[in-house]
Amino acid sequence: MMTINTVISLLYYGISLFFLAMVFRNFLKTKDPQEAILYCLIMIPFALRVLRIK
Amino acid sequence: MMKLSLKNVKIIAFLGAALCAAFAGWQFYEHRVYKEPVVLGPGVTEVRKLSDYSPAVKGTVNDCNVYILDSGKPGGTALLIGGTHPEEPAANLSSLLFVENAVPESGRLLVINRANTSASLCTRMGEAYPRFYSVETPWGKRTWRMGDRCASPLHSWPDPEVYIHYPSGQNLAYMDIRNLNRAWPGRENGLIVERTTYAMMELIRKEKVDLVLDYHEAELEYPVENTIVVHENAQAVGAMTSMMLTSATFPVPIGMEFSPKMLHGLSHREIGDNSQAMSLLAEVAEPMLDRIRGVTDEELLMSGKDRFVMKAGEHKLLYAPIDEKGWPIEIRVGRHVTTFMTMLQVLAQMDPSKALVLENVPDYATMVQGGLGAYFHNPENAGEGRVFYD
Repeated sequence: MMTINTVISLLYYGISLFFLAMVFRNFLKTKDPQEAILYCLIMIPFALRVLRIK
Repeated sequence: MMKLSLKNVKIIAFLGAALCAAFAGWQFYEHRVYKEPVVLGPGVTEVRKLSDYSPAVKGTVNDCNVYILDSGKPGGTALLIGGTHPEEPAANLSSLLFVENAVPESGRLLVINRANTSASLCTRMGEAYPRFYSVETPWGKRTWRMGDRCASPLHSWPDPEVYIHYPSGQNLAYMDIRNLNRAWPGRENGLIVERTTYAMMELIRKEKVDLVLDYHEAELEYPVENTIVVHENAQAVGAMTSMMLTSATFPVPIGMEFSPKMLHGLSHREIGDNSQAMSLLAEVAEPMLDRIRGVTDEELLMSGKDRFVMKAGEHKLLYAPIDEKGWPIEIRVGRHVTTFMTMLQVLAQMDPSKALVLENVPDYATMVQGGLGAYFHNPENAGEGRVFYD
């Protein structure tokens, strides 16, 4: 059970990192200032999760 | 007015978000790394780790301290469990009061202040709990972490779709796999909370504990309130304690209820079923846990005063009385401490060979009138090796 949980946890962090990278990529590419601000807000919880702060 | 270029908007937005993340991150981090000092009282003879009883918790965050107050004389052995649910501060403050003050004259007392340390390192999502709470003492403020009901997802994740309790096979809500009071008697190779209860069961068996009391608090909307929940093996102790305290000490009665035989995972059921110990659980009112409360801050946590909960009381929607005086922490801790002392008195009357006599423990009226500050000591004035951290 512990092994399965550890594997799923690692996958979860991988997924979080993937989404963080994708949102950051969109943030760099967007031409809309409102979208840029929105992407910045979306990145906060992903960053805190990847850093294991929250 | 100057128009910002897209590049500048992005830089400002990114820096703003980074600042928010850093501030929020610091708040979470500060809470998680805060260590609660425990000043060993004159009665503490030894401090062990829970992993001394079972390697199942070795190296985990839940390898908590076990404080041992041994009189060196024959008598009973009792275990006090505080911090099962770290959002219920009267529990760990009551157990801590024994560690810092009690002196055993006969028998042994074992105390755990932070039974689920992991849950004390996070907060309840969406509830806006205060991060810390403090008690004013003659020498300054003493501060503790305010935690959650369940262990942190950082230490136990993911939760199953349905939590199947071991060994009963009973289905419980998914998050209860992180709830210490749904994970008894535990599992050696389970998730962290199951390992913790398994190690505590080992402690109870190896130390031949006679009586276990698990401290809790509950919302006034909840029917199991201001009561002692007992395993059938502790019926006499629970009933006598309830009658003595209701008739002579507590203005608000303390009841007694039986542990349901088919509801598994709770301390009052599983400890009694899986060991020689009498198993009891004490509840006291904590208005901050009510769903209808107002501003959720340290003031409400410690004073127990809330006009919305009072209004619910006026409409007879609660299971405990509440007025403008609220349910201050002095009353909540006073009830818990006095309940345990009365249980020991009853146990000694029933079987003198199981007498656990504790001195230097304040009585109910003294705590309610004088507050709790005098019973929590200054770590800076403690002797060498007399301060531990939970």
